[in-house]
Amino acid sequence: MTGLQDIKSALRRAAVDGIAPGDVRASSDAEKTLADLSDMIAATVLPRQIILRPKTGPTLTLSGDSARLHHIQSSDGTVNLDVKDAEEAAKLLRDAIEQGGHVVLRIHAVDSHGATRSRGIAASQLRTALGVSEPAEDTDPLAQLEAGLPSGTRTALEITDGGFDLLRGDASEAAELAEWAAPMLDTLLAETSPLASAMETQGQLALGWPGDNGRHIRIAGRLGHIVVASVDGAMTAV
Amino acid sequence: MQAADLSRLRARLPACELAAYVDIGAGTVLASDGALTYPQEYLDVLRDCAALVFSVPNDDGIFDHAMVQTPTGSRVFIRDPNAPDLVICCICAPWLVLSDLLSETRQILAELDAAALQGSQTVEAARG
Repeated sequence: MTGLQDIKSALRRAAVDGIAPGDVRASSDAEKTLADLSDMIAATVLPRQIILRPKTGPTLTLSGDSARLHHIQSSDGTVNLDVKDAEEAAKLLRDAIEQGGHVVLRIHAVDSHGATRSRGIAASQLRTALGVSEPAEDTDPLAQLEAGLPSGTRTALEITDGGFDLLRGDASEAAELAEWAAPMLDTLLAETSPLASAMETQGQLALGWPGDNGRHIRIAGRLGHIVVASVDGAMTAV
Repeated sequence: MQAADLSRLRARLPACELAAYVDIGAGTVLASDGALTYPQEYLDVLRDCAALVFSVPNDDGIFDHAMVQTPTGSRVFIRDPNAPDLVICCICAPWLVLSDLLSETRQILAELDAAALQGSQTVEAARG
């Protein structure tokens, strides 16, 4: 079973990369947008730019890393703020979001924040200033993965350092599935894989054969755990 | 498949923010249509994702569709049944109904096949 021992460590590496660049959240609900924005900043590890594009008003570019917000800049040049005061940043963001109507948030990777980097404020300070409640504590990631398995799951296994643990179904089918999954996971979680970071904490890959009602395969990752499942029935979004 | 066809597909699928038609064999992006203008690098990454998810064969035959799902949205990849190296890639909102996307994409591909067949018959008739 080639490479299985590397898979967990690869997923852990991916897990420290924050929210996947390119991810988008959009809402007309200001409170939801503020909560999403707080989550995005809290999840940053490497340097990220968060683009806040309201339907009306200038676009804001937020620079963050290490769960801190450092800088806010507006597209019309009226805001160029090295963030030092959480209340000031919160007011600016709340005004932009409440007046902006439908707001799109998009996160980008950047090499560094260069000259724009200041000490900034912690995501928790911003959350408090915005009046956004702390996210609920995550329960056991493997239990969450198991709970998320579709009802038609025939076989499910967790990839471990030495092989796999059977979660559901027949052991020989699981062994075949694990053998197939090994090269797939090596590719999926490789350093150069554009999907490694998408699988970081809550990513799922589903693969289907021709025909809408056949079997499909799901690979789900969450905080260093990875589950592979063979599922009877049509592939659906979860 | 041209940008106008992808635009037609997106018009039927409000959850679809970007659609691209890529050749994973040749490593090229052939056409795209999106709610925003996306840089080429972004489309190239989407093409790389398509190549990656279809890179590992299976004893039960090749996969013809795949979906990468995160809480913030989905990336869906659908192979052209007549040319498996050609893939329609879609970036969609979390509220995507996958079955709608699959059926609309296959409908567009069928329409294009029918138009191509009609075109070739017209050429043959003109030659005859």
